[in-house]
Amino acid sequence: MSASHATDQRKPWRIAALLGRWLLGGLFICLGLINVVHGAEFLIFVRQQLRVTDPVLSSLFAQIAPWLQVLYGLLVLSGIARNAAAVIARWWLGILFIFMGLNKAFPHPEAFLKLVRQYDMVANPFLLNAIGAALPWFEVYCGALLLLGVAVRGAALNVVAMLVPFTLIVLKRALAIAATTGIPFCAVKFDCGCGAGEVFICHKLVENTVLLLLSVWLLAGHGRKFSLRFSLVREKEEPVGKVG
Amino acid sequence: MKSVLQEGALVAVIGAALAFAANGLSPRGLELARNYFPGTKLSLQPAAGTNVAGTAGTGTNSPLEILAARLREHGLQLANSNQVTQLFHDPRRERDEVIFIDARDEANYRAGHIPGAYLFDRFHPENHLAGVIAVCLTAQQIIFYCNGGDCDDSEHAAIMLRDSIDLPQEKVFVYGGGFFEWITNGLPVEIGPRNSGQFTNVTHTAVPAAGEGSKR
Repeated sequence: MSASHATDQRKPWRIAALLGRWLLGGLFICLGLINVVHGAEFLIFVRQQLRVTDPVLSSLFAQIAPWLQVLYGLLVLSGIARNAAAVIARWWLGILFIFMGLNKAFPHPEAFLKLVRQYDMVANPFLLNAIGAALPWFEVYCGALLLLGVAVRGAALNVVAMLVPFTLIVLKRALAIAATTGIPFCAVKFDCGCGAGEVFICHKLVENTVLLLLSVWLLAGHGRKFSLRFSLVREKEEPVGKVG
Repeated sequence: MKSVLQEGALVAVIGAALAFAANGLSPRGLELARNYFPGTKLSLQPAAGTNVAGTAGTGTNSPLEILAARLREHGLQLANSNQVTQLFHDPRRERDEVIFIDARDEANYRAGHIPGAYLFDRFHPENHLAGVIAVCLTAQQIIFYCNGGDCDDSEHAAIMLRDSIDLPQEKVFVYGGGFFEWITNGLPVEIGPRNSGQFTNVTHTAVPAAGEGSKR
């Protein structure tokens, strides 16, 4: 009786996890296919933002990476090799945050500071400087923890805590630009200070949703394999590792 | 759940400490106590590098009028394209009585600048102050510029220098159109260090113009 009660209690979580998995898989496929269709633009992105300057390497990367995204999306969607997919998610998220953080911290942290200032979030110069100075390095730190598999859920929680407000303020700014200029929302393109240069807002929102879902996935206790120390704080209950 | 929150808090505290330490150790780190944007407060306007730069807004004032009003508010004068061209050809420029100050960073400066302009990267003033202060004190007219458009580095650099060495307001001008307008007008561009003698007509800079760059 109690076992069936526990199963009933977990049912909404299972449904939410399943929907989340489908959404994540679908978005990955969508992003991959967009990059396949807009191959030339993706190649420019690889060369300019990812700084893969070698023509052969950049072309190879630009041709393979979108299909890997599609493949990964199918993997997540189907639920095959879920543990491996979660580990890949952890590594990918880690590498991405390290890269984005370093892109902001070097070589011109003042450029990032200017972008932060344009959001008009804080008027106090000290607070503004503190955000501009610490945020890039904090991203690098969270990325390193995820990549190495140290305090994964704590790092994922911090990533979620950063992504949610950032996505909201980027959305707010894009809405303001669209309202001021009268151009269609998805045609709004600007450097949001996310570390990848200019982006179309709709693409950015999809990307951030993907990052958010991946972080929540790790937060739920997945991606334990190849972790140096998955949890720093002793856990009392069993992780929900089998859900989703 | 509790353990996750505890771990999250632990990660946040250690991370914040490490992040500030990394910024302190970084040779390009930001100074927390410094006001990098003296004088002005920015409202929500399309950012530099948006695809909407230059698009007409809903207001009645042109971007140049808004800029002129903002500069006036901070005791600065706006210089337009004609004035800047005249000042560039002014014989006093040869005697450093009329000077141009490039408020962009060194990479952009070296990629191309107004001939004879002094570099003053306001984010790293320690590298340029000594040379720039001396000429500012003797100059009769000083024109600050950056890329133009939404770039406000020239404005902040002008405020910073004016306030730090008590320059008379009537000496200080900001070229609103900036370097992009300069090259669009087909005026000469010097590359490399100041007075390198190397000129180019190429309208290329290290940093992409508004709306350029990644097309993603």
